[in-house]
Amino acid sequence: MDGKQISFGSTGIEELLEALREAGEPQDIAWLAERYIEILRTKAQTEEQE
Amino acid sequence: MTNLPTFAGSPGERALAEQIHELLRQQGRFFSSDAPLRQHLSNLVTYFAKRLNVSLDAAEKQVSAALHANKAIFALEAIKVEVDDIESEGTVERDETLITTGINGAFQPFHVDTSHSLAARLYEPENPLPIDDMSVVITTTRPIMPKIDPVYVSDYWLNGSSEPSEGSDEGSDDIEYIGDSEQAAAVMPAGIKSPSVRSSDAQRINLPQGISIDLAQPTAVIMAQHGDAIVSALRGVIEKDSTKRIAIFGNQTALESDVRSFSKNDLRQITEYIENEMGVPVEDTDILVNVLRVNRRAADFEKQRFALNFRMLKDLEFVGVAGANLWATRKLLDKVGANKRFKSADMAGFVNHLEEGFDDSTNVTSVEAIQAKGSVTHTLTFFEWEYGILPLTDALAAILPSAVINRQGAAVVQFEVPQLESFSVSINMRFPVGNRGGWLQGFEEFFRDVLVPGAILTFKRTSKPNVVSVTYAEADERTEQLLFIDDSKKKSKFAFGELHINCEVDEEMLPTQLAVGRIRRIKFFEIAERKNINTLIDHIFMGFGEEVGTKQEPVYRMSFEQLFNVMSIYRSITRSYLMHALHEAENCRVANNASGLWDCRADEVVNERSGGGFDRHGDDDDDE
Repeated sequence: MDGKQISFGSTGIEELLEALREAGEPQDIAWLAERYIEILRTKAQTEEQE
Repeated sequence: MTNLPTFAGSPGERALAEQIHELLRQQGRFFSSDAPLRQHLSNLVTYFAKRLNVSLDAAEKQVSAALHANKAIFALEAIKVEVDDIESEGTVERDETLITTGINGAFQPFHVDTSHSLAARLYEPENPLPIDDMSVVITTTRPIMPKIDPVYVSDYWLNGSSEPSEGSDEGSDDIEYIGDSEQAAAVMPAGIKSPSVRSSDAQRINLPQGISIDLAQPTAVIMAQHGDAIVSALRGVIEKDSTKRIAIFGNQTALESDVRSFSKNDLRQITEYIENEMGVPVEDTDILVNVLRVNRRAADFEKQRFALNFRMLKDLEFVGVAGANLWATRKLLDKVGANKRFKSADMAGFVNHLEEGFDDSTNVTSVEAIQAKGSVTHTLTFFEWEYGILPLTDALAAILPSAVINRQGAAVVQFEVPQLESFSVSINMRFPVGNRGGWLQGFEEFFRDVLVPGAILTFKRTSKPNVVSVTYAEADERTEQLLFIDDSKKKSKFAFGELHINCEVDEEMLPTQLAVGRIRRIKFFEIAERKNINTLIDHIFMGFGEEVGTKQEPVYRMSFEQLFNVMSIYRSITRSYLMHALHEAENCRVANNASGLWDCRADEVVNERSGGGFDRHGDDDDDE
């Protein structure tokens, strides 16, 4: 996915929810932000490699 | 524009119908406003079974009941759908219910109104013009179409501007950043070695604040550079999400569907515990242990704690601070620091200037220095002493605990006075909201019984997050005739009485009869009348200033510091705000910059604004 097509707040939210579900416990929002950045990076890199 | 419909049925059915409608609106958020929003019943049942944590049958019963109770909004249609059959590896027909609704309620099919048309009105008018006049309306001349020149865009912009820099070695282990390399190197946390990264536009994203982030950089570097902005943007996304899938309380987040709910009985017990048993704000952990009987050592204690804090937000008042999640009821909060002598709106009017850039409390000592020291000193003004309040300046905020949740209105903080054994007072701390300033109220008894205006106080953090220590320097006892507000008669007035001073004071701020005796010549001004600073300035100049004008054009002169001292009797004020008000006032001007003297042409203005109320040469006090 091109970075221009990534919309902060809507792209990758499902994956973010999954990460929070897997954590099983309340998490700090900074932790959540880090996971979100990693999810967005994965999306951007996957598209670039393709 | 969306006009939400009103739902029918029992409270539960109404709530569920609202959620179904919201879900369907989400589904069609990019549709036109008159498009039908359709969904299969089975899909809704599957979704709500998971969300409500009930069986499919129970969910179907609840969803059907909600839909049937709102038939005017949701159209139900029995249809046949083809589904894959695993056994026969083909498709089979299945009965299904199709639900249709619209963004603003029931779906209304778009109807094209052909009863009138522009063409018909032009060519078949009700009162046609004579044919001779049609040339006025219709022209046979073809209009000249403007030619649009092509716009050439540089290849630089078309191909992107992130070419790799010359001389870079891709195989090298050295850190290589393109773009924010210097910043990245500066904020790179120790011990984190970055891989060689190559930035491209494909890996750049924009935050809602407009900040561009290069995802090619390591997460630690991104968070070090833009962590606050990313967290802030993510918080905004979570709070604005209409489906509320992520629960957030303070800095803690969890999946909303994983957060347990509390019954009405639980809420009733918690309310009774706070109001009747404790009578003071209670920590979340105490509620969990003493009311909900959750074991402190339970594996899911933190999970339960989060659930309590998140779920109670809509029913109770959160009055905690970072490190101490305190809960109160509205009734209880109204009692903390209660003062019937002023309204919150009045007090807000006296401290708004702090949020408007006139907070000069950190001009001498910076916030960082105060935080490093862990204490701050404050000189009590007459207004603060009289009403038991303190403005929440940047200096005080630097050592006081901070709010936990967004838009938190108040917190209850305990102030201990070590010099007075076991003396402690609960203070209602009003946080700044928007452009409304913050203040602390509830010091009235402590200030009036122990201190005098001008007392120098030192506030210090303690090991407990919601406890602050306040001390004053003791001094040999003496007696002075000091100002106070005499409320014994129907009409309040300024008076002077003998007060014992046994603490160190700023003599300039001590309202002795000698220093501010003339205040009795000025109108008293009820607290609600003191918001207009210009009126106060005029009256103070007329009461305290030296007459330097003529009889026809009276002008009064006084020093800025004296004006500030008198003004701080009437209201909360900072020097920078008073200076700003003087510069803005048309009738005031600097008389002597070196000695800080100001002139004010006050007479006519005072009479116009307040209809008099000033007696310079007379005496308005019967007791004097």
